[in-house]
Amino acid sequence: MKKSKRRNTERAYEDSGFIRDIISSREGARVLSCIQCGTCSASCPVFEVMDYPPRKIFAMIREGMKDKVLLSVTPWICASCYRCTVNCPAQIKITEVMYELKRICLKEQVISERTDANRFYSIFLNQIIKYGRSHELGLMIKFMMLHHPVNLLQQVPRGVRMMLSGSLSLFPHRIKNAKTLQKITDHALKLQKV
Amino acid sequence: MKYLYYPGCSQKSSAISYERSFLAICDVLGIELIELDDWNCCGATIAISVNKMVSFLLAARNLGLANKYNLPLVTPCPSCYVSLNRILKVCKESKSQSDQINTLLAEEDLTFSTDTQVYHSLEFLVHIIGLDTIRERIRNPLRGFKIAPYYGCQLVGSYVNPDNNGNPQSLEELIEVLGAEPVKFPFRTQCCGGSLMFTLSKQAEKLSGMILQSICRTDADLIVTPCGLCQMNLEIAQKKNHGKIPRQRPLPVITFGQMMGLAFDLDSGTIGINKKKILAKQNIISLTN
Amino acid sequence: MSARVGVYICHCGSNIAGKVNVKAVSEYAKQLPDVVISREYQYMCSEPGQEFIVRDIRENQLDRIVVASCSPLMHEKTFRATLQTAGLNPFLLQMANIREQCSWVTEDGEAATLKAKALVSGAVGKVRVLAPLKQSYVTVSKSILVIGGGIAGIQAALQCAETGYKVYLVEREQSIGGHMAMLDKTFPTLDCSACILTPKMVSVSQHPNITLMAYSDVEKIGGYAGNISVTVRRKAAYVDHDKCNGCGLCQEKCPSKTDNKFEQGKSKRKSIYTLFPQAIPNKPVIDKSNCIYFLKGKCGVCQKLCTREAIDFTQEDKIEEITVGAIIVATGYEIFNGHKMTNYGYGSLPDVYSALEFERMVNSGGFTNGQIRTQNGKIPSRVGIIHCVGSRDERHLPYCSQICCMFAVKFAHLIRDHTNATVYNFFIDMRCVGKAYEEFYHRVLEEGVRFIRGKAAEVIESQDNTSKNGQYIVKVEDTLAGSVRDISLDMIILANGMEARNDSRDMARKIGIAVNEYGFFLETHPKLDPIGTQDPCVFIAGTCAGPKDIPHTVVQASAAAAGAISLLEKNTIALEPIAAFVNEERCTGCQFCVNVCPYQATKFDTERKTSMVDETLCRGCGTCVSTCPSGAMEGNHFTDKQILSEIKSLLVPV
Repeated sequence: MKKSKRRNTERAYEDSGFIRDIISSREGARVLSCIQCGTCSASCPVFEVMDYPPRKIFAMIREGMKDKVLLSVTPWICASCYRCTVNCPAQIKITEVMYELKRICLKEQVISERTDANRFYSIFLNQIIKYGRSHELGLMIKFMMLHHPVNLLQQVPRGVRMMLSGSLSLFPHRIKNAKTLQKITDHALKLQKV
Repeated sequence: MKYLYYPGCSQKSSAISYERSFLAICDVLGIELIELDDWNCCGATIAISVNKMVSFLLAARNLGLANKYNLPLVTPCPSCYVSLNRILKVCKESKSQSDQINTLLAEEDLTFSTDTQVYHSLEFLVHIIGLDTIRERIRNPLRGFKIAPYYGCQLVGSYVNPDNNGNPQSLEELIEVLGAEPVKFPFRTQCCGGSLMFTLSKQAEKLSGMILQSICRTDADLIVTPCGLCQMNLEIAQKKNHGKIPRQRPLPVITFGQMMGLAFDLDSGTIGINKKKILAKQNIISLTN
Repeated sequence: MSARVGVYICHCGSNIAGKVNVKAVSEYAKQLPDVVISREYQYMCSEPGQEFIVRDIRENQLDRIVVASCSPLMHEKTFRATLQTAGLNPFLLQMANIREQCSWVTEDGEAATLKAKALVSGAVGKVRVLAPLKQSYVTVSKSILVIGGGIAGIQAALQCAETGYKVYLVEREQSIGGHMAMLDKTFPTLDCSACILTPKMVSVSQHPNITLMAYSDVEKIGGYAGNISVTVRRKAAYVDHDKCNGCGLCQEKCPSKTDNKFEQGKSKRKSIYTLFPQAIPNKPVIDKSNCIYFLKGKCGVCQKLCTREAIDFTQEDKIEEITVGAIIVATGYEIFNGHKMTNYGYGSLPDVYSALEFERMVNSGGFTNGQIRTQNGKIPSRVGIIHCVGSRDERHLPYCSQICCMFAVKFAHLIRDHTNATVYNFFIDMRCVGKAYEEFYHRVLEEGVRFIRGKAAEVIESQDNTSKNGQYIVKVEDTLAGSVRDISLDMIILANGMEARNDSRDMARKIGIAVNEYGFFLETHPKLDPIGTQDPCVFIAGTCAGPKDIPHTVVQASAAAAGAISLLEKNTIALEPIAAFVNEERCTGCQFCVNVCPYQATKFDTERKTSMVDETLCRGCGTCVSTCPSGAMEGNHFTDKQILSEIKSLLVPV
């Protein structure tokens, strides 16, 4: 009885579709050749706030531990600095795999509660799609109002200083062809749903 | 010498002094930069984390706009540089991907070509324009100055000149040509945490703090960087970590454009040194006199 | 009279029959032109399989045979012998490869069957028009050339010489010994490397059957099977070695110094020098690029002091021609250049050493006289050894260099033996596969050496001046303890991988053998013929064929010697009967064929104004045939008629 129960647990990990998805993507093509050397983890500047080091993420992907991987905060913490990718002896595009994992998380709506990066991302992207360019002040206010109102207050003096020096504009710049850009990004979104 | 110029969003706001100094030195060097008309955000590291097609499209639209000019494109932003080169690389490898993007761009009567050259401003000046041309314009050699070359992470990333092998040298070369001395420190290409400023601000400060501390242990007078985001982030961290860094005087963080502006003897308004939050004026002015 | 063809389809167990419908192929073959008999059988290469063929030839007067089975590389020899047994010319055989080129690479069974039918039809088409060929033999020169005087070359040379063959041992450096002469101790027995190597070096110099050609390069290789002509360049030493008695006075007094390569550039040597004290031959040479006399035209201190008048600045390179029956290639390896891994700081951080630098440091004859010291002369208290430097890295050497784990363990032991330092090994996987290797690893574990499973990501300079910690920090994920660690160290040693010599491709071209993708010489078969090459007279031994340690190198060298010896024991050797020939009436005398032949087999006959082929030199590669603009060159066994007939039959709709 006990034995069969353990077997079931084991089987739950074998989500081979997940592995197939990852390795069939351009980014993940070399995941199977990871030798678990840990160069990525030791190269990572933000390793200490990750729940799993990148090396473990690759081990878990290979074992099909889809839920664990998607619920991990690691991809959301990744600073996109490419240091792991530069150093990886197996030439795995680690940063790109992290992007891919974030995309899968968003697509399947499985996101760790310990991050709000996803919300920041969506504010940022919406802003770009709307105006064609990013607007730092708007981004800051919108994101911080939602999530860190106290922090926002702390930032006020700096913001004022920056505005006075001309390095922070009050209003977003909208590109001329913003309408068309919105239209084609809509097409793109249809082609590949978030 | 005509080139296309893609500023990237930061260069129009927080890194405006970076842009001004870069444009000013290009002017001195006789380089005509044509700003890409109606350019849009490259998508940075964020669009690609949300939707691949959208991120490719955002980057490709700029290349589509550039295609009409048939000129190489220069950007001062390392992150834009990565985004634009990523799409070029992806589409060089996959015709179907490139066709798909071009179909979308057709809505705006644009097509892009994978043959477009995209340079980062530092690589552009050091390798394309060349150190000899730069040397000729020096009016005020930075003799006696010790400068810490801080590259940031993006320029050594996976899309960049593969033979620099994680060990770039162009800042060092530039510093030497301007008459100053590059200072060695361990975290030249370490991430400053810039991309985490909003989502993990503590971590971001810690990373920039680590870089600053390592430079503070040297006898550097200045930090120079080819990235507007790095400049801002190091400045913020410097302010916050001030007490923790064992150093008497502040350590100005300037972009390589500003450094060249100093050596070309451009006025401080043009190169935006007066905007620095760290009081470094005395330090630098004493040199110019 | 039309031909009488027998066709034999092999199942190869399930290798072929699992995919191809062999019965259908056999039935199909029965109706092909001139086919008298068609059979299928479990294993054609087995004795009963071959007996079928012999019996059929005799009973049915077959005069042509088609075997559809594996690649001719595997069994062409077998079936040619079968034909010979039955009294048929062995070249009246055609093989159809329905395994490697069909069943193994085709997913769909029906498609595979169709393809097998077409291949068999093509083979029948060719075999019908094949002509018998005559096998000719030449006598073999009873001498052997060994290229490279490292441990592999030394071992092979001694073994061949002991058997009574004349051996020419060519070494590019001025002394034999190779890399092994640089090593301090050898794993796992901790034998002193020089102590076990130098007796063999002395034997080489004393052996009456060995001509040692040190400070020499193999310039050119020509000739034909069993009679290989070799051009050797004897580089000018500017010292007459017949007169020199090796007293060493010149070296002592020479005023010019330069980096000592044997000591990995960590100490200086004179411009007139021997490689190391136990060098064989132990006679100095002058390094022209640094010698003051050669640079400035004056000095000549050595010449003035030499009582034997051995110094001769006018000496020139000499060219010597030798003829040998076989060649053993033992040209060795290079260590991976640590500069390529910029994240480890080799070359910019002074106390980061390469493996060979450490070997010289810890050797009592080396640049620190065997003392383990940092650049500042301090005894290190924390030493790190980084494994897999270059090896197992897609950017550099994707393969495992095999010896590094073990020499890293040896280094750890030597450091513990010489100092009280804490030693860290940063490894990805420990590979201790060899006799007593695992035991040695355990011994070193018990000596308290730390083994951290994780590849060092980077080495940075420590900026912590206050504590007593080391000058460097290694960043590594301790994948077993589950944390990223910053380990502070005084000294770092890299376990550099092994790579093919950078000129291995040139050497291969010179000899006429192949290299693999990494530049290591290619063996005939990785398992069953690891010493043979595509040239039956050339054998490979040691690290030029791939990374390996000393015991395996010695084993392979002995095997290569045995290969060469058994070749020469036969007295004669069969020449390749598949050769090119000239249709003189068509030849216009353009000489294109003369220029393209890689074996100098085609020559121009100035009297007859046509090209001609030296059949002893021709290896039947067909380059001249495809080059000839007038169609005068043909290759027997591959004549236009034969090839066209094969193609035509291949294309017959099945």
